[in-house]
Amino acid sequence: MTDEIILIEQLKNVQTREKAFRKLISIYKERLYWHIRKIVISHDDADDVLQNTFIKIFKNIDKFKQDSKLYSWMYRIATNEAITFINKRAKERNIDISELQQELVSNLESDHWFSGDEIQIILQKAIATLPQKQQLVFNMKYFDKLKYNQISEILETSVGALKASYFHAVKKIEKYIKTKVN
Amino acid sequence: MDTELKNSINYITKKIGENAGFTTPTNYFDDVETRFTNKLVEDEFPKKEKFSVPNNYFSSLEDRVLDKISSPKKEAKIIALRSKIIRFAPIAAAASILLFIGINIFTFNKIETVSFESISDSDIENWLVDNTNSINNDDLAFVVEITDIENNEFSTKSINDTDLEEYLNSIETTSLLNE
Repeated sequence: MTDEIILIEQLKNVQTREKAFRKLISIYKERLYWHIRKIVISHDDADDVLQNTFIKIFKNIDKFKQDSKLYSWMYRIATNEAITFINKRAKERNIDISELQQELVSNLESDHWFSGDEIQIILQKAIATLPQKQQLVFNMKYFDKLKYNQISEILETSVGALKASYFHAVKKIEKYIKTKVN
Repeated sequence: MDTELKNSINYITKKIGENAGFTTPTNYFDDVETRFTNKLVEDEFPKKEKFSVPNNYFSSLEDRVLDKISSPKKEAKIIALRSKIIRFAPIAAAASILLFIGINIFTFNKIETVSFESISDSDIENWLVDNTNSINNDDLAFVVEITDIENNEFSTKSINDTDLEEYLNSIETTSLLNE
């Protein structure tokens, strides 16, 4: 906690900003990357969104009020950047976001940066059929192993609502997998 | 013996009560079934998503991000190219306007003559920006009598792919896709 406060002070101080920012990137890059990647699917797109996320963090660090944890704030920015990105992509193609995500996932078999077998693709397809909020909650809980109160801070949603979302997500995914596997 | 045990139990109950003192989080029991179901179901799911990244992707990230932040001047190179192209356009705009006026003189008896001189440069440029799609390349070629455009008419530094990509990402590209 104290480390975080020191880092934030260094980030807000013009003299120490760049060095502190480099440290920030190195601490959080992987967690933020994987969170973004699960939303946008492609590595190249995840790379673009991740860099834009860090730039946004850099430009807005003075506005960070410390009313939430630094990580929650950054994670929220990453989430918004990723969702804005795929919304824009869907709009350009004149399709809805669910269709786009399912299309992205169906291309995973030939994706150089995907090493999963059939069951992993089925799972990704299942996730892509969920409403956006449920996708986020599922990924954050199941893969990122975040606690509900952490997810609550990031998504600004109550723990109760998150639990309900997660339950629905899990049931739908189970149903989807069962229909594909049998 | 039984009496002794009974007495001991009574003593403990009197002193401490029957509450062991343990507590649970709020609403803990409300969702026990849900959590249990989730766990059962999750155990059947694959554990990892199996996405991968290029070698050295993460190790080089700090440099790439800091590079982008500390070089806003790269955007200026792309703007320079755009403004050079736009410089040719007023000539085409002028020609189009004259043509329009010329045609109208024959088709209408009463006309309000608009002299070309009364149209300001900024009006021409504004019209140009709003009507980029209606200026076709043939018109431009007809008016702009330059057969060879020297390389130094454009930005002297070549634009690298990263800058170009950045520029393209910053503008609305739908219209480009439709052409």
